Amino acid sequence: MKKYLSLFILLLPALSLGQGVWAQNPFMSKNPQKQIKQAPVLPNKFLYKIVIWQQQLKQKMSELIREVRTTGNIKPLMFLMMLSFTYGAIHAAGPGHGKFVAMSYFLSRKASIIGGLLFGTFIAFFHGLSGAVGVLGLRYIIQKSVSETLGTVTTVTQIVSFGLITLLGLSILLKNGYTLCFKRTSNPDTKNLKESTKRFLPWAVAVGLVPCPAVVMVMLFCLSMDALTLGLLLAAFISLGMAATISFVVIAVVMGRGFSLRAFSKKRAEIAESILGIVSGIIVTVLGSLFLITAIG
Amino acid sequence: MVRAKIDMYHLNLFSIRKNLIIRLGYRSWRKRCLIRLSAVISRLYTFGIIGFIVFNASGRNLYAHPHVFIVQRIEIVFDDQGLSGFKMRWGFDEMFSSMITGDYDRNQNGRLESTEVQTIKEKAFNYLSNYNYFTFIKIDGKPFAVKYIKDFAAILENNKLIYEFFVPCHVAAIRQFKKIIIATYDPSYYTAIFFAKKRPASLSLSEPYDVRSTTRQDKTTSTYYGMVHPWALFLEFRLKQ
Repeated sequence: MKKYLSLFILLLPALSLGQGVWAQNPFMSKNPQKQIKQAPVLPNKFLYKIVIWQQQLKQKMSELIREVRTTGNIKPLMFLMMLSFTYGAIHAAGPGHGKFVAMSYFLSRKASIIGGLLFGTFIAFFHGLSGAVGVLGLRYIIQKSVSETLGTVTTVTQIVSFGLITLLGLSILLKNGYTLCFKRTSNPDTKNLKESTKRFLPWAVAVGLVPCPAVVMVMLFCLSMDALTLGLLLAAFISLGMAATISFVVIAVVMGRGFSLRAFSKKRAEIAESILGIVSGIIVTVLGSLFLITAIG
Repeated sequence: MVRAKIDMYHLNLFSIRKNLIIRLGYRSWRKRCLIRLSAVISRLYTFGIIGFIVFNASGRNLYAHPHVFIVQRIEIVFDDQGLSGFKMRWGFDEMFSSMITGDYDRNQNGRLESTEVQTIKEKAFNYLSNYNYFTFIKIDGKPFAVKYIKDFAAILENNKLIYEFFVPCHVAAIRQFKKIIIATYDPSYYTAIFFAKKRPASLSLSEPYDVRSTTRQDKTTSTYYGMVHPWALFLEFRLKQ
């Protein structure tokens, strides 16, 4: 019973197929987002609260940025950095930000907690960096309207990102399929830090490639006040906040996976690992393809 | 009597503990307690982690993702027939405001001239027709699709962008109450819309009618994968008796 329960818990992510959302700005987007209608489930009061917190944090951040800029007073800077970190952390609890793909990936392989931490940090870093680079590139190099062009940039990066995610999902699927059918040995442990970084980096780039709208808006707001350095600083702290949340989720998966697989004997645990890898591969491939089709369409 | 019972109970507990200590030795007893405690903590931890994974992975809880925040006020406008429509006023957050004005306040004078307003309407408002202008109306329980709006205006007030527009919705007044629900939400949840705390709704030319209105969450509507009940204006009106 315990074994089946463990396996069920590990396979739970499969239940939420197709629920990841990469919404585009409806004010600027020519194509309406396809709505997936579902029967109403219990509404979430916590969800409503974190939306309100985000609004309040954003409001406070705007006020403090203006204060720093107009008065030249750097006293609120520390508070502003803390707010940016918190905003990033709460914001990343929302959809997107690669949490689901990261979870599926870490379900498919043994990994260390440091590996999970690194992965979460890399995703957040690339997600924030692409937002900051996108704004600077559009504003200073291409010299085009950011709000208009960002939609196109987002679509292109989404197509690349989702394409890469699909390919990576396929690679997980094939690798674990091969292991299950021919090899009967578990995935190598990625405790070596350098090894982990090498393995995780393409994933983190693929997932974090899409510019983060939160970073984009903060950057634009700072640029409107000629505060480029401040904008970059806040973008860095927002990314750090996002890194904290994503890493937390990934570490939870790493630990949860370990705890659950302990319910099996060594031999069965190896088979369960391979099955888990195959399921994760299927989930990532299907999700990647679904998002890719939506982004292209 | 009760006091005596409590004392006996404490005495029993104490004697059990004392016996254990004597039988196993204090160190052994402490070790067992620690093992049991660590087992309990480890189980709680495991369940915590599993719970957290389920909470996230099931995709139904932490998917709050708005980037734009709107505080709205609705003016309910009547005419000599009954309800004429709703004048919407959306106040955007400062960051979104700066994004729009950075691109469309061409002369950067902090005011939006008519040509600039026209550009904003074309490039940062008209696409909302794909989403019924985030305005979802029900008249006596039947949906009324908002296909067009009138009198769009974009204003800058204290560095905040304001959109004003009129949603025509003609409903003739009769002797019985007509029930209208106006829920405002972005179905993609890129935008979060709140009612203003002060004066969320006001009436215009409503003297010939009995009008009742309130704002609260619309429990009959769910959006964003069923996780959110949008806030709505509940309006009832009839001819004065």
